[in-house]
Amino acid sequence: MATNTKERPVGKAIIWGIITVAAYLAVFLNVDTVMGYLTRGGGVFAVIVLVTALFFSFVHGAFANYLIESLGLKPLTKGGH
Amino acid sequence: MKNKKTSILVIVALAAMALLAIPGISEATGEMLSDKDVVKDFVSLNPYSILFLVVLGFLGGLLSGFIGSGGAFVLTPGMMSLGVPAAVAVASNMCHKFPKALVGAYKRFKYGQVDIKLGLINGISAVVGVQIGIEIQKMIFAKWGAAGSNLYVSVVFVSVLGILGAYILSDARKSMRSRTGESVSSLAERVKKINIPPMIYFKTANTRISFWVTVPVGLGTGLLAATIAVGGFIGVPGMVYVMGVPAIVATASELVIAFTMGLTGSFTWAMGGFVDIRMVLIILAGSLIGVQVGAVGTTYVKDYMIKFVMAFVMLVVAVSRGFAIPTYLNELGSMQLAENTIVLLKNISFGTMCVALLSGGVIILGSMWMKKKELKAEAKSQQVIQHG
Repeated sequence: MATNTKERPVGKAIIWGIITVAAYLAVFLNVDTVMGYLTRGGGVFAVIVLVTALFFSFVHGAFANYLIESLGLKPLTKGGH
Repeated sequence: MKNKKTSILVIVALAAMALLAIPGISEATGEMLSDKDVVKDFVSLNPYSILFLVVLGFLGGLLSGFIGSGGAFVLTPGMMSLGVPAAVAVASNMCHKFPKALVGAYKRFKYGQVDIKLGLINGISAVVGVQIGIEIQKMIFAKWGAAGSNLYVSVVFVSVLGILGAYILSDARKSMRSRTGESVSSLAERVKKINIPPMIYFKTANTRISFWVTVPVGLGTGLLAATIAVGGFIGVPGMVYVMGVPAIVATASELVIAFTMGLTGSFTWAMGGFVDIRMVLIILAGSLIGVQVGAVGTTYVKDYMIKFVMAFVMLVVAVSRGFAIPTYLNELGSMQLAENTIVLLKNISFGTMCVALLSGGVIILGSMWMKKKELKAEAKSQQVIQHG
């Protein structure tokens, strides 16, 4: 039933955590430049906005996944019911 | 051959959605924006506002991961309470919504809960529904202005969420009393007997229904998305009570609809340069964790618990919007209110929304914690039996 027997992916959580923090720092340390470009509008910059959001969803999403698994929060059943 | 057919269906669906959605979906704001609201101004963020957005994002994500929608209703007013102009708040909310829905959908797909075909087919009619909703909004806006439009939104909020919330709550109680923890609506049973081609089999949802039954559900989802920005509050009950889809599959498939609507809407807003990427990323910091915790949470509870949380949130949000109605009546001249009273009502309305979000989060996390405790106790007693 439970998948609790698997090891907790602490190492992966740390690696993805570092990548996530680096990505956030890259944006927020250069926030004026980033905002300058991404609020210009137009097709190219609109695509960059969406790609940025998707990139963070991938990186931070992976970190969040390993983080909650490391905290012991794993699904109980496959298929849900 | 079967794979080829599915691929064609997916491509046609996506192409149709892209064509239909891009021109106008950005207007699916939940509140019609007047010219003075469409201001492109980006506020400075302090540590308090950053923490506020992360927490709001986490709670919104938790709710979305668990019931397939929600959270969005409080994020736009939440950002506006920080001084963010309405258009930027709506654009940034939408742009955080689609990556969150993507992560949530992927997570729940891994648990075998997502019916992609169901999500895509409902997504197409939802996009058409959005266009109809926008036209209705435009008509009301032209006739009665922003206050009239906001009044219409609030009345829809209160009536639709009040009626559906009460119905879902009573059904959740019925399911709770049944041995299986599930219930099938008599309407869904009757709908399954409608045999108008094309008939579609939804594998994960394990139901075979006419395409024509899916249309009103999708249209309703889009119509509500264009009116109150949370289409899932009609999409999920529609899938459960009209199409006979289990709540766990309906809430998971709703995330596919939210992704497609959010992606196309975000593109249009980003074309105008209205998306504040800082706020999007700050909200995502909380919501990507929340949505995954919520998704995991669905595997800890029975079907009726998902219905219960949904009904609870819908009813509290309905009450919250009820507090906003006198303000709009005042703006239309049908009621006289003092300035202080208006401010108080607005604060109560926003506070109640936050309570809805917070209580929803507490219920989800609480039921997961209880289940974990129960499992631990079970494992302990089994160990005692083995050793004894």
